[in-house]
Amino acid sequence: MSGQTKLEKALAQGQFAVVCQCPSVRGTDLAPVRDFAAKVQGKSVAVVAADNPGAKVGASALAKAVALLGAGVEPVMEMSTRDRNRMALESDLLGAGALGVRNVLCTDGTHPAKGDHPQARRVYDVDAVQWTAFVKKISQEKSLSNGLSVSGDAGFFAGGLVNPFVKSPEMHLMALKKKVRAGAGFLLTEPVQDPKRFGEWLETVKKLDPADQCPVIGAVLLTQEGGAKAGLDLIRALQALKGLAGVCILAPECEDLIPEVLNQAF
Amino acid sequence: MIVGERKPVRELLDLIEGYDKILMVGCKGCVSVCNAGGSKDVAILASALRIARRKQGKPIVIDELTLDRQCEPEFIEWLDEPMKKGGYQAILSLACGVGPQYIAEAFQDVPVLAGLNTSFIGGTEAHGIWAETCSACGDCVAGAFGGLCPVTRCAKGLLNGPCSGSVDGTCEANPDTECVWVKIYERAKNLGRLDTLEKMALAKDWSKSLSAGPRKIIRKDLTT
Repeated sequence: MSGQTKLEKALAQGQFAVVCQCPSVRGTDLAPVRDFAAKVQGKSVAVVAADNPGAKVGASALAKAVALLGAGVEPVMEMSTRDRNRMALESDLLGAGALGVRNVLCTDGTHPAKGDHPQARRVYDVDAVQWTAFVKKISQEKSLSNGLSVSGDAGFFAGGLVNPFVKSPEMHLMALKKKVRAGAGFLLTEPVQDPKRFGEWLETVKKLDPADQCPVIGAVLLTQEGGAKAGLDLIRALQALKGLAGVCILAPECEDLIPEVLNQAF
Repeated sequence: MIVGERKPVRELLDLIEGYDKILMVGCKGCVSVCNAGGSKDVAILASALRIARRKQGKPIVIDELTLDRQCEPEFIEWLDEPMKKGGYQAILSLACGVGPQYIAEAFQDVPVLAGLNTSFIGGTEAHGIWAETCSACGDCVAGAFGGLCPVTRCAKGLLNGPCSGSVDGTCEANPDTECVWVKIYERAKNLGRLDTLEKMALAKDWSKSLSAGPRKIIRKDLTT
């Protein structure tokens, strides 16, 4: 299991990485995930398996990631620190590694108050930055957060989530730098709506110290209303941005749009 | 201080169902300050419950007594006399969660009811407005954040900066609340100490909090 993941390699080689997010399934039949994988296989270097996105419960990111692997696609397993403490996170990470999942997106996750289980007790034993550091510790030092050694070839490619579209970009940049220094090898953004504003933010990031930055993948959100056309326009605008390492296409509850957009754009 | 809110009258009526004579006990401590369980609040509530019960055709005798604090066994002893003479079928405490438990410990043969929802440790923001400020985590790191506590005041308890949901300076979970990370960041910037926020804050040791079970502090220099 040593060596770079496909995503890691693509980013390292400066290829424009095309990533997309698979459907969530509130059930036990992951056929929608496998079907999706089959349709995006040729165009998407990796597919994100979200972790109860929007704080809405669905089949686990790990299950989706394994389903993606089975369908011949490299997964990016999101691990939010909202629902599980460090013990469960470490345990799931080792389990994921054992099952062949190696790209991990470390996030804080949407707060339960905004999801479909607002009465649930939030966890947040650790935050996304600390979890990224623990993933790095397992990967590089072969050690759990408590110092105990980890067997096997466990090596993970960790990433983080950033939001360029905020009132205080300086404050968020501070958090971005911490994620990179904690071990994030790629950064996924919140959906881009204004490519110009995004381009300006990207320039700021590229000017940071090399130790404080890593490849940035811009997210594009497709909606039923906007359809494929709106998505394509946005993707083309992003492709023109200097310094952008790739795009991640999201289409919550209308993932059917994604294969069409991928085939037209790439 | 500890901040709480009186339970809704409907819930209280359910609690006192079946009792004809109860003792309502207030507290002059924290709950008095937040207008939830002090002597005035006891008087108002006792009156409301008597009226409600009269309307139901089930009148109730509610005697009122307010202790200096209900978190001190010494003060709970003041209930001894009234309890001997009173013939009360239950005690309704309007103190924070400590009160009912200390009263229950002292009076093993009487049902003890809690009339307050104890909410949080906090302070006064303005008259009539209290906000949660401390979560008693047992390992205070507020000093590392300019004196502000992200463990409590960040809805996600993040120690390393704002989440992606902090878009316009308000909290993703509670849009009525300012994102505390904005306050922390601005304060550090103001004090020329942004560098203190650069290093990763380590994962918290929750074993010092309630997570490890109810805590106890024993001061050997003070025990007999």
